[in-house]
Amino acid sequence: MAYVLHPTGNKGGGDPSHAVIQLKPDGTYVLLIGAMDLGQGAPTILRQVAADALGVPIEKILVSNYDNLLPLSVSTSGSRVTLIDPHAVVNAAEDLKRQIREWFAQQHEANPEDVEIEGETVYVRGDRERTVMTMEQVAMGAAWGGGYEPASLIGRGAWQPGKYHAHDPETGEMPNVGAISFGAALAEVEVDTETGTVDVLRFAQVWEVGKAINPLLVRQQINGGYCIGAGFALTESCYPYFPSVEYAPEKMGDYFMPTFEDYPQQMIFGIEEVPHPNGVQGAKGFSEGSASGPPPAIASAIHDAIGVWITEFPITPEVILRALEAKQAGVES
Amino acid sequence: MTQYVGQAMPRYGGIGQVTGTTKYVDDIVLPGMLYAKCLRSPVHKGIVRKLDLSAAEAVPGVVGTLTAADIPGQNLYGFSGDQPVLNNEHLRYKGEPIAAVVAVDEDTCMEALEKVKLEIEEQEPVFDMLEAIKPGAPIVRPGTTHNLLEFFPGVTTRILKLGDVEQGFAEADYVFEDRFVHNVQDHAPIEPHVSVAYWDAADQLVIHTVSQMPYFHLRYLQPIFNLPLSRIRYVGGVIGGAFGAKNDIHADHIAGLAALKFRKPVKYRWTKREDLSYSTKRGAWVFEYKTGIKKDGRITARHIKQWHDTGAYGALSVYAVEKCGMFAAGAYHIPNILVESQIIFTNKPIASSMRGFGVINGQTCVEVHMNKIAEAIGMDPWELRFINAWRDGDQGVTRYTVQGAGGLEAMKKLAELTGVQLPDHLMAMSSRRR
Amino acid sequence: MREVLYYAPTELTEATAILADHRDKAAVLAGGTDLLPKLNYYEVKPHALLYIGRLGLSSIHNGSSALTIGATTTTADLATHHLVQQYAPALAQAARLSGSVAIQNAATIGGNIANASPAADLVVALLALDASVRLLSHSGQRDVHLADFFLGPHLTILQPDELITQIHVPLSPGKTEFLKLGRRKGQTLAVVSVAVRLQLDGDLCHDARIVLGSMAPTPLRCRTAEHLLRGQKITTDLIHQAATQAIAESSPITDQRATAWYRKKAGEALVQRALLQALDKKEVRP
Repeated sequence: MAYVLHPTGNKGGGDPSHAVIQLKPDGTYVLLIGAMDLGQGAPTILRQVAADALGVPIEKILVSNYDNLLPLSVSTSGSRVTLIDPHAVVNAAEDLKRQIREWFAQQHEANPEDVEIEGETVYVRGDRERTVMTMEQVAMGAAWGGGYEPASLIGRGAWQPGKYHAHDPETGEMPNVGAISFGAALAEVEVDTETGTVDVLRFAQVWEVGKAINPLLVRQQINGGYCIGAGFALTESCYPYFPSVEYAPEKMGDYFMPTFEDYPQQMIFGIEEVPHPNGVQGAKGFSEGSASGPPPAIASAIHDAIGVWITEFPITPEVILRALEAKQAGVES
Repeated sequence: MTQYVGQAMPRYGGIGQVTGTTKYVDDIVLPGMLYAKCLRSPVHKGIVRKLDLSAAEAVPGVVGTLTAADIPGQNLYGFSGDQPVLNNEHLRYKGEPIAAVVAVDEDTCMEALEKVKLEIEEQEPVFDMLEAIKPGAPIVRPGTTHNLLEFFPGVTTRILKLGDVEQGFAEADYVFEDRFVHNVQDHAPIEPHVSVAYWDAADQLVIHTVSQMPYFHLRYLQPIFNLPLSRIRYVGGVIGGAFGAKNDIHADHIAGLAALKFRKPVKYRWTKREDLSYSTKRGAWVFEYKTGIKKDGRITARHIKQWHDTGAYGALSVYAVEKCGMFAAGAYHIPNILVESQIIFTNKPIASSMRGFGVINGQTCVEVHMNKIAEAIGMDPWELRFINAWRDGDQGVTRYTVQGAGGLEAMKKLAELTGVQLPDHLMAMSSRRR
Repeated sequence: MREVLYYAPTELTEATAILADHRDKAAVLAGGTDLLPKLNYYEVKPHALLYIGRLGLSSIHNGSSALTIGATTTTADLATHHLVQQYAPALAQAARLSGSVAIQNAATIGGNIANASPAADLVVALLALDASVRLLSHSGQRDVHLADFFLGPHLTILQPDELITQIHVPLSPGKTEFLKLGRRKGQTLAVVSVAVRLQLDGDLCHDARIVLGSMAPTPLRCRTAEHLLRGQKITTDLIHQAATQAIAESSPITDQRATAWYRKKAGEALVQRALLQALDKKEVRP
């Protein structure tokens, strides 16, 4: 087995994301955010967060994350987006709602605090019948003016997990960590002692992610992380006979990433949730960590199978055969 | 109130990706678009003695070439600020870009590259980081006297420490040591590095990028192009896989420079072979672990030494190594920790970020190390972890405080899902208290 | 810009005439799974591409003494065709284990032979089945035993004006097996592959074929090892001896996939397994 961690957010904090939510003249929303989608689904989860924060149907929200006309997000790296960007989105949604309340109060000569936003319905508390408007009417009124005062209803939000402090030059002290996620993994392998081939029969991986904003994407991350971790553990090497740099793979056919056929017959996924104080609804990122469980779990399962600890990665069939020969020689001598 | 958070919703935009309608950067074709290809170093280490591009420029269809002299701003970029965009002096790794050819199509670029007259004084390279730190080893960076990265002037070892490891080892009943070697891994995303650049009607340089960190990369590109941020429009967001590879600029600088010089749209894309051979990697790593432990399984001290091979340039290795060091002792309550890290230059392609960003390397070591220790002291590996696992309020090596810990909960869930029966005294444990 | 002539004739005479015209400046295109990467990486620069997919060469027929397989029959068809499964199960197995589904759907048997990779999966099985190839040119045709076809890695006796049109697989009795060891399960090239065929006469081995892939400059028939088995009672000991001998006949190289040391070590185990597993297989009867 293996028990691993993964830190969320870039090292030392000071790692902001910004978000903007525009209310369009027809009552739909555009979420502008700098988070890049590498396939992991940043726009998917941020749209979920925005829909909850605005209390509107998710179909009303378009996410745009296409260029630097959009607000800054430091990066899609360091498993940071799930911890940080939701805060920016929630802050932008709150800012937008504040602006809507102010505009609405102005139109109805009321106090902004008395303006109630119930999803797509806006009214002045205690005077609902007279004042009630749909969000579409609000959006149209603010955008086109006419009989209303015009207003740019654009919410803005930013957040970072604490200020950045560099490492202390003497002790390395760096007290700020956004959040840490935890994983646990268990591998069952079969080792062919004549060819050195390792077959991972079953693999289980659980991640404690604070709050799974989208459990489907969490599961897919665990699944994808397995591939990188198993490749690191067993097959992938840019220098198969290092320190010789000859035979460096040039083609995908010579660089052995696991294929679907190499996946275990059984993959067991688990999600655990211990809400994190720094996360929106407790959510924290973990995705890179899903590659960390497989190498130690597989290496330890190989030891369990053949009685040899191998501490050099990747554990190729040749490494296994040579380790078995050394073990044999050791037993004989 | 929560309606959407927590739901297993399908990917936003996923339909386009699975039906092939999503437009990736390489799908962009613009009228009059030119193509660029780089002349790459054929040697692992050497000095460029002659670079004559005239025959390449004479090939029909070639619009021109790019060399260091065409760069309006600085010929350096990267997280460590030490990578030349185009290097026509001291070559540090095989595949390092020397110059670029810009032509009407890639076939013509390739034909032109074959005509470049390049003379290089080849030098002895060094590939093994542990050889590179021995006296007399070939020097990777010209003008220096050793191959160690300096964290600060004169400081080649980064120290992270908590408590006093020597005292911790003195308190231990047993001490265990292990050594780990990790080879080089490539990200190998399906989409190789690609960029399309052009001037738009507003006299902005528009770059279609596959960057994972556009704002960071703008900070590198701006001084190369010598343009204000307001005049660069960096369009990204659709990426065919990255896994950390696209935390480094591989194509935008070349496409942008070509668009600047020739005032036409330019596409620059790497082949899969270039990508596998010459792009950034997860670098090689060597670790030594030493752990002191009591008979009852409590860890008293952990001393870790790590040596990281950054290849020819620094890139994000400092970050990866420090991040690795911050978590390499594992998610365990250990009162005394010392992590000593060195980063070594070699004549290999550049090591930089890759999914896991150093952390995976440390976690791999510590967990194999823990299983070996469990075997050696005759303790169940689950129990060893439950005893030592972080609880809320525990401190890591750089004095960060653990909040919202969930390691025990993750392990209990794993046991439940895999049919592992854990004894009651372990099941009773919680990350909320020790 | 590269300009390449493209021909897609529907008549064999037309195809051979084009080849005769262009000689070694033409490249024959079928499934393209080997040729296209070479074109894309400028490893070959033909003046003309001759597409042979419209020549009606994608068929599998059962003759009185041999299966006749058209040169552009795809690997996927080989893997699933009932005649191949019935009479040449080792070939079907080799087809099933080669490349990915996408490659199997495009790659052809003629291409696998013409490419002359030492690792060619189909060729290893075909050699164990004593297959021959029919070569056609504008001036005539000839049949060549596959065992005489290869000269080295990517080198064959095929003349620039010749086209592989058919593969003949004799209907001979025997128990066969094809095994392949790659660096992963899916989409893998052979680190070592082996095809065996045992013709048994009661307890005795009447005849044997042992063929290794990725263990020599060409797919290799291990004739001395075969000879060890011929006329002998098959025992576990004898199988071990034959496997050791087969490896002694091989001359593998170190490449990205494995070292020569590993290939010999794992290859020996693979030959033993193939022989043992063949004994348990249903006998193919013509």
